[in-house]
Amino acid sequence: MTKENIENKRVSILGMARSGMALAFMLNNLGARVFVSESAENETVSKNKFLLDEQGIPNEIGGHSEKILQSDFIAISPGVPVDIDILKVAKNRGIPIFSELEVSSWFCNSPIIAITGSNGKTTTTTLIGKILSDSNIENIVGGNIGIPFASFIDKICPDGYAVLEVSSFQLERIDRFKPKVAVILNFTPDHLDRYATLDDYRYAKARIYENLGKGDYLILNADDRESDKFMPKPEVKLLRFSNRNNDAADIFVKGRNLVLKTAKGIEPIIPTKEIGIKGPHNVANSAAAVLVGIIAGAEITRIADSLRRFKGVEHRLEKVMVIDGITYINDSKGTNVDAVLMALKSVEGNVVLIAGGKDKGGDFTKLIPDIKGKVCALVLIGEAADKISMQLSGIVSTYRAESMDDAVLMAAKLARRGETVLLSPGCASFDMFDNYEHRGKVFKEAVYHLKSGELV
Amino acid sequence: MIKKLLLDKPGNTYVWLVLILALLGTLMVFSSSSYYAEHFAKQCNGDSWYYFKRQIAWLVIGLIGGGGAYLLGYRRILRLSPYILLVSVILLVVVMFFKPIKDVHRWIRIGSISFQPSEFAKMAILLFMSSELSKEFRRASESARFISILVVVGIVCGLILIGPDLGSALALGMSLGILMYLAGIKKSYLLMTGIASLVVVIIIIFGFGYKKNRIEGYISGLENPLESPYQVKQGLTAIGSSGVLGKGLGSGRQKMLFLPEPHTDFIFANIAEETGFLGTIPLISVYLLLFYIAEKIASRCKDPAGRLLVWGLSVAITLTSFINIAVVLGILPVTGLPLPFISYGGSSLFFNMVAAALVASVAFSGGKAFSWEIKPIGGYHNSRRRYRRPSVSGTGNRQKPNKHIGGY
Repeated sequence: MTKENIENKRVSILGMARSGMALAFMLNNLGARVFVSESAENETVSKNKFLLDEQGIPNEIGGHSEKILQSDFIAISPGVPVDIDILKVAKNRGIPIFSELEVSSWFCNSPIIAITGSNGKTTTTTLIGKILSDSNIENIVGGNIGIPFASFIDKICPDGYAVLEVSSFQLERIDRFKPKVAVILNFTPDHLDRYATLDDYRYAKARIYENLGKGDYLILNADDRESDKFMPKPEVKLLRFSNRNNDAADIFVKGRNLVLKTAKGIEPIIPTKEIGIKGPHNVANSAAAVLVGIIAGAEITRIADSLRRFKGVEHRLEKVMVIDGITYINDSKGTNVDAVLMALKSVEGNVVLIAGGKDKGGDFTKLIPDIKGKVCALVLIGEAADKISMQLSGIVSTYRAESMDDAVLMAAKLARRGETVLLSPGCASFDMFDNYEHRGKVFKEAVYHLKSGELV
Repeated sequence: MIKKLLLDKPGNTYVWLVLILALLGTLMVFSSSSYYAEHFAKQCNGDSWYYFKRQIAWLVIGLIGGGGAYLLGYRRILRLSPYILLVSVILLVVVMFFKPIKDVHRWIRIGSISFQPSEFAKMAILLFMSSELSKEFRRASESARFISILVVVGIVCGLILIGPDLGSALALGMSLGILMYLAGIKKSYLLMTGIASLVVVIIIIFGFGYKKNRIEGYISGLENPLESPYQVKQGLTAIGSSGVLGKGLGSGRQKMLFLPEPHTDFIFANIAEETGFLGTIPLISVYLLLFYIAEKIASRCKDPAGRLLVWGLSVAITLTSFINIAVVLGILPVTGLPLPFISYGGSSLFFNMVAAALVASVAFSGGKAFSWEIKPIGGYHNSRRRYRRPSVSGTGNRQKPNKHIGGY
């Protein structure tokens, strides 16, 4: 399927959220016969339905009907589970099923930089965008964060880069998706609610470099033993980064500096202390971003400047404010246990941790060594609260909160001067909030209200 | 400091260690075999240097073979691996038609030179697997590919097994299992394969009674060392009588009458007797060190096939050496595996030298074949136009020349 022959093709799109909508408009503009289907029925959906009706794009809400099957291929949005019945029927009938990422990539003429990994995707993707922009290299950042890929296909010039955060779910349904640079930041157990085994999860991630060939780059984490199991074709150029003194990597930490291995020897880039985003995991993220920057043709000195200036992403270890000597940090994007671990490691001093939400099957007992002596109290929210308190019983004093306001108030009372209140849920947000952004906003509002004395 | 010395150029260190092992090995072969050659072995005609000379000859051939493998480079050899495997399988079949030596079909004999196809097959299958496993298994449909690989492995291990050479087949199977694990094969597949192979081995031992007496001898030996199989008992006597410093090179007693063929599988007993605790500990450490260095070489290698090859070869060498030593110590039943680089035996020495050369080839290719230069994509990003800063004329605020980063 290319730009030329998409015309008059029948396409069914599942999911009427941001990326589904963007894809529908893009394909409609290209002359395809689009049909959009959505299983949910709520305010956002009806608003989007109105937009589709306005354009004359046929659609349905409140369930997926057989109409989906009258198509040349089916495109699914990231949020749609792949194992729903209608997709099984489609598979049996031999109708190809692609993710939004795959379909959009057919029409993208500019080189793609795709970033995936278990943690740190958003930070790194944003940082890469920043590095490229600072070096006057045209780029648009999107994918899983911010704007959907489909929405900027026609806005990006062929000289620029499409910097995409991609999830393993989108990668599951690709076919010809071929980034110029693929980055797998790290690989830790996550989404085990959706994948039967770690191997399956790894296979999904591995698809990011499936179509890479000569002249393409794959960037891997040298510290991650699981990364050794990623095996690209020999003609793919492989680069590795490390946040330790690991000279098996192309970019690693030596002494105080982040250094790059070159033909002439080892070239320092920036002292790790000066990197704007904090914590050892962020040194790794920065290292990966540096490699991408160099590949895209940015100058090292400029990259270093970008690293100094970039202070992080909203909802990712975002410092909200300090009230009565207590620091409030919003890490709403920490939706799995490893992210909580990272967050705890990057925060100094004692912590009152707010965690919980919709359970993703994570193992919170992993936190025990880091909780001891570091977390002085645990405030739990959401469906997973009982599970977490059970797994961590006897390790730390736990409290149950019914709402975010409740949790913030409780944490504020538990914390003492010099300590930190950290929201790092380790769970999905869908039981109480629309998404993690919503959860983060609610947390921040609660903190603002606490400051102004409205929260009692 | 030591770490730096060892790991700065791990390829060099690896080769040096192997050469030292092999040279010491020939020395020990001489020490352990001279009496036997002079007094017992008919083919030697009383020449006490017989085995030593032959081992030296094989060492030279091994060096030539290793040098050839190194010059050819592991990538080319990997590309040839299916053909190499085919030849080795044919040889494994051919060996069945040769007159058995000591009741086993293990050697192809031409004139006075004998050749052990199972050693060749080991190398061939490790090459083949490294190359196959580096082509990733990703989808469920690829289980068919996995099964076809298993069939190939089964044929090779099976042919070695009906040699019969249970020890080699088991050691090889274990090495390949570890290799598959490291390559990231689904654990469920591995578990099923492991259970299936275990069942096969149990059936062979207890169903057909193959080497049952060895197993029984082993068990009674564990209960009471005096009831160990003859060889093991003599070996243990050699080790036990050695003390801390040993009896001195060449002064071992057990090799003279009691330890049968002291220069092959039981050479460790002779080494222990003559050099004592102070000699065996460094020897074992060298094997561990070789494994450690190989691991470093593998982790620095960016080519998945090369990484798997180093892993596979080093696991096979380490496993063989430890099984051999464990057998001599009576910890494992007698298997007939040689001590790599040391035991007398041309085929084993030759292919171990080639293996070391391949490891070195992977180690040194890090700077050549798989060194990447980061070339910015699409030259236009480097055009001066894009880097022009708003500069005020006369301030000397000129743009720095764009720096390329090269040579990975």
